[in-house]
Amino acid sequence: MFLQEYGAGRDPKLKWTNRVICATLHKLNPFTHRMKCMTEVIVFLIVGSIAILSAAFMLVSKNAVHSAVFLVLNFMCVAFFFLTLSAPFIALVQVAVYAGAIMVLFLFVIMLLGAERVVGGASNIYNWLPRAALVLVTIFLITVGWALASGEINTHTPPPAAPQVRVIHAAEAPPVDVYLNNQIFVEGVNFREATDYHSLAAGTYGVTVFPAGADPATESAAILGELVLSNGDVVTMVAVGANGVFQLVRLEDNPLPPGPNQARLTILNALPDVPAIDLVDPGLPSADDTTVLIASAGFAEPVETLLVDAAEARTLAVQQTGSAGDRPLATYRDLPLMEGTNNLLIAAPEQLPSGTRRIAPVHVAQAAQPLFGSPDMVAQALYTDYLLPFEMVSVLLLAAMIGAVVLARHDLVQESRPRRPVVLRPLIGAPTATLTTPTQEPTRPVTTPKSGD
Amino acid sequence: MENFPQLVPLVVFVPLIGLLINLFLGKYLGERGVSIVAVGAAAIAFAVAILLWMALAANGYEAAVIEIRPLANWITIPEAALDIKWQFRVDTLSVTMMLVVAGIGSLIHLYATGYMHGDPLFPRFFVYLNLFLVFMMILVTGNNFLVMFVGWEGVGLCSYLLISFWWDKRQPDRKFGTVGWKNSLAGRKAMIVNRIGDFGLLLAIFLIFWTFGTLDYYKPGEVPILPAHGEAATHGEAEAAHSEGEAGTPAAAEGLPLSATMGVFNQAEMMLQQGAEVHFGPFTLPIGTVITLATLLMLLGVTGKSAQIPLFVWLPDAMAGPTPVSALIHAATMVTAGVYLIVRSNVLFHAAPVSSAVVALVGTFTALVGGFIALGQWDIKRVLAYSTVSQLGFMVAAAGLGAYAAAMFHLVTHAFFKALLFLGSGAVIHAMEHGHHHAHEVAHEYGGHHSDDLPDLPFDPQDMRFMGGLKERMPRTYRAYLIGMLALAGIFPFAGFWSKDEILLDALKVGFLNGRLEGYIAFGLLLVSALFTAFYMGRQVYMIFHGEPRTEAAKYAGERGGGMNVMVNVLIVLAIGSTLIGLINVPTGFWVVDRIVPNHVFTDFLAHTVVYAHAGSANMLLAFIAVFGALAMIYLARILYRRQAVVQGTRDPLEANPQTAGIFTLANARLYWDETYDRYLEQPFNRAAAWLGDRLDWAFLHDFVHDVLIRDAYNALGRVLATPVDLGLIDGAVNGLGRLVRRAGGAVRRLQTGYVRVYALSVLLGALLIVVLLVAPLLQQALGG
Amino acid sequence: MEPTIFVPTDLYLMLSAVLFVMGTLGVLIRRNAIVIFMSVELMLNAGNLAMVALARQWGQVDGQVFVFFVMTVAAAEVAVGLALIVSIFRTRKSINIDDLHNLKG
Repeated sequence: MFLQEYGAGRDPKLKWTNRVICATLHKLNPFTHRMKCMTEVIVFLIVGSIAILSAAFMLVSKNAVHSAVFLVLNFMCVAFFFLTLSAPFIALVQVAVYAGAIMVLFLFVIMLLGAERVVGGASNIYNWLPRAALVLVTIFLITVGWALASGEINTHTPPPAAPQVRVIHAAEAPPVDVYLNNQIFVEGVNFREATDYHSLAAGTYGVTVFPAGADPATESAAILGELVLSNGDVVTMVAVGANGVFQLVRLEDNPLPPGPNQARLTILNALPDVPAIDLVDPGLPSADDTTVLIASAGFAEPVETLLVDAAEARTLAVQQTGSAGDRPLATYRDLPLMEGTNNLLIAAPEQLPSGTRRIAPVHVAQAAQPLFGSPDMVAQALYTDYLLPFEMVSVLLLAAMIGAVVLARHDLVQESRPRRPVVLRPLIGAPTATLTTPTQEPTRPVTTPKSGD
Repeated sequence: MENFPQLVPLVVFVPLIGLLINLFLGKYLGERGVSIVAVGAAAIAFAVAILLWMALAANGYEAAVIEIRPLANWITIPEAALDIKWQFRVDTLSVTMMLVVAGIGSLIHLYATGYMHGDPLFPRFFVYLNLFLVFMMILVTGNNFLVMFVGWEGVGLCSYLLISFWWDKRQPDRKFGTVGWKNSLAGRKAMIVNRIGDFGLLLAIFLIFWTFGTLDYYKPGEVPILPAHGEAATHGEAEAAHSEGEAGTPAAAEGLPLSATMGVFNQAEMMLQQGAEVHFGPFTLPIGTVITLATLLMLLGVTGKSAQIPLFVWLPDAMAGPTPVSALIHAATMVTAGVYLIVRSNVLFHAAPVSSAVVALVGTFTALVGGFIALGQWDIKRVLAYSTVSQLGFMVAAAGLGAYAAAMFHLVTHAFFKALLFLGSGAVIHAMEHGHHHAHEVAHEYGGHHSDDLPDLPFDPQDMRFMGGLKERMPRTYRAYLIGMLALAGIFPFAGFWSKDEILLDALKVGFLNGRLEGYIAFGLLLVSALFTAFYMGRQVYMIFHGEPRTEAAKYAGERGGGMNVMVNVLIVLAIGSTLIGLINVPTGFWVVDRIVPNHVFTDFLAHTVVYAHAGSANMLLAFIAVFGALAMIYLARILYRRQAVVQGTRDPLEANPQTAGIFTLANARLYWDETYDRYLEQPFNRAAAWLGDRLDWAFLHDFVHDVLIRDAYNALGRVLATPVDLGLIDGAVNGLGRLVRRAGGAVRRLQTGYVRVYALSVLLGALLIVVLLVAPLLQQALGG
Repeated sequence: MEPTIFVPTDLYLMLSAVLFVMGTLGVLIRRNAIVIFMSVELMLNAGNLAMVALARQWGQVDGQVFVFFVMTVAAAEVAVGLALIVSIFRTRKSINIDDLHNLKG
């Protein structure tokens, strides 16, 4: 099924054989889809049966070594499921840590203790216990099964993702503060600067933009606007304008990664006095129509994004629409278009400190999310949102190691402990003279004779 | 030298350090060390006082107010606008007092090192003496009435401690059982009588604070407003005149209260000029009446501290203290605090003619009564004590007559010669005691040969009837004492002559020139008192020093050994002072002398501070009359007492004469003053107290309210709470709960089987229950929907 | 690009439930302490499977991160648990779980 993610076999990175298979599959799409669906379900059923059977054998094996081996088999099956569930990293960890390290530890202990079989008389006082357990477990299974089968439990719709908003300042103006519903959102955004994404609750916000440091209670806003956010939105607000007339442009961003070795590219015309611009590649022949990558981007109008091949440095230019061959308005020299990034180009008016005005080529690059389930994604989550739990688990692991070492120490184990003096009467109110403990023989810790001797 | 006023805290703190050293280390220092520390502290204070005097002279006698940091904000309550600072005031008046207190004080400290030689409580005595100096300096240096009151109370405390210093003496006493008991009672009497006076002073201070909103005499840098007819229109007066008829002063316009910028005295002057009124809740009084009231209340304080009628009774009893104490506290310094208070408040007294008249009359009668009683006393110190009462009466009368400079002048001269007389009497007593011991030793040596001659009566070294003929045995003491006697009697050219003459002249002026009745009364009675003074002093000198020794003790008395040298040297210094100190204030127009010595220097010195001080000119006729009368009285005493030796058991020549017997008996019985107080004040008071104690406190409050109402009720309540409530209800509930828990625990513990698998099963059961609970609503939904 | 789903998530959840139940039975029925431990591991794996399935279903990586944590904790638990078993075996010479019932009320 991962083949599907790589499109219809157009990916030049794939091996030619895979490319052929993918192209064929793509051509035969409706049929193969059903086929693949069936295949996957069949595979699931087979591997699932193996898992259940191995678990059952583990349960009934008299020999603990056999149990352990069956458990390894079960773990392997689960690892396979992890792989099919787009969790390759977890799958590998499962195999390495569980099936590898932990189960070897089990086997080692079993062998060390020579405890393949339970010795000692089985007490028969709780004979009813397996039966009771079976009954309870059956009730559990029925309940869970019914709950799943009834469809009343929602396992399909994910919880809403909070909308995310960032601000870019591309207007010919000093730094600004942005307020949402009269609450400060970001402050001191410089020209050309892009803020990070901020999570917000879904809803409608009144947006006001003030010059940096202005008091919103007394001064009038430079821009008044409205921002409607629904769940799943990823929005960039760009402040554009010049000569005292400003507005906000809303751009919808795509957080998902582009294909491998690709980058997204789009342009925003932030020049009030230029009706429309083109994004051209001056490296290609000018007569060719393909030099125009994006055509006719009107002032403050969002245009569609383009998927381009990733490049270390690519020179692009901005030209007024209909003036092909003229000197470009602005040129992006050696623009880095990295793999897996969203690139926003803005042609913005800028007044230099010397007073001369020019058109500034603004470039904002943002890495898109990594592939789902990839080690990248897990690592990103671990090192951002789950950093604190991660640290705590590490400390726990360390403590467990120390604890295991301490517990397994030889001299900790004593066959007979010195008995505490038995106090027959309660201590309260007893005269102090009677509290003196009877003199004891100095007790030496008696070490257990080693079983191997 | 301009900065010398900054030294003024030293006059307080040096004696304080001295007393602390002696308090904590006195035991280890020995008599010599203690003496050096104590006398040194007093001497340093005196040196500082001299420096302050020089500083004043260099600064044109301008008053200075000094603050030191930790004490400055003494009592500060910003919310109540109450700000009483502890400031030191250096002006001519306070420096005069400092010089007297520290100067005489140093000499008396020195004397006391000899007098107290061998006393087991030697260090403690000097701790008390230095403490007295501390408080006396606080009294005279304070810049407001409250600081002065602190000193006032402090010296009262020291007076109490020192009067009853020998509270543990076990010698028998006729009236009180032991001398120690007598001493402690004397201290108690001084304390209680002074409380009455201090009550009045405290009320006066409250009244002043209510009226003026401050207690400071003058604020720092403030200049006294001179009387309206004054020549130099000072800044303060210009301000006051400017604000006349307007709502407030410039200071008030700035938003500051008047009390923050003006002291009591200037405010009083200003309010008098404006005819302001003072509001006391529903009452309103004109300022003049308020000042009269305040000064009368102050007078009550003065009568207590300065031993005036009616509160003078404590001072003669205070002679129970060691003689240096009598000299320092009860003659030279502390008792003059009242005079200082009046002179310090001269602005207020000048504004209250009624009070002044009362003051003058009180002083006059005190002078007369004191002088009269002194005529008939046997005890050497008691004579001097009544003499002190009399002389204080002179000072108070002078102050009441407006002669503030004369009052202060008499204060200074009196400090010298009365200290001299007391110390001389101390020397005599000391010598008598030694003679007594010596006589016993001699009697013992010769096998009781002389024992028949010794009188059976208890020997009293202070009784003049046991003395006589000491002139040959103590020649230096005799000469010094003679000078003191002449000075006190007012014989030219000794100190007392100048000051007493000035007071008499001022009284005469008030009578003749101002036509005020109290002037005539004062002049006449003070003249009589002066004659009394000459007589009893003559009587004393002749009884002590002339004739033949009347006892063995007097025979063996002498001025050698046992610390006597120091004492006699101090006497000589004081004798020189008593001779010359009068020359600081020679009046104009006095025969040759006014051309040799600068005239009324002291009055001019004081006038920089005391607004209403005025200098006197001499009246040669009056001076002649006074000196002649005094000499005549001394001669009379010589006739009476030289011929006839008065011994214990025989009668006084005055008593023997039928015409004067009544007078003498009256004087000897001290005008029955104490008996009157005892009968009409103390006994009713005691009876009332006894009734209140017996009936109200013991019978009603204790036996009934406490024992019956409270204790029995509590006992009953306690019994009820203990048995049925606590034992029955509460214990039952607690024990029942315990039993219940134990039974429940016994039942439930079976669940803990110890088998892990059973626990696991119960965990599964719980988990299953949770799952079922989670799924149950879905089931309901599915079935219902 | 969302991953395409061929096998319904419910199937995975059912499989997970069955494995979990078998682990439970192992814990309850077996008396060998080591086998009980293995059963516990089996239960943990069943839970992991459910979490990964739902992560795939919802397109959120959090489930996988949690699986990672569960594995770590399981490793810690095994380390300590096996040390305990070794320790117990030294004193008792037995790993029969029913022999260990001293802590009873």
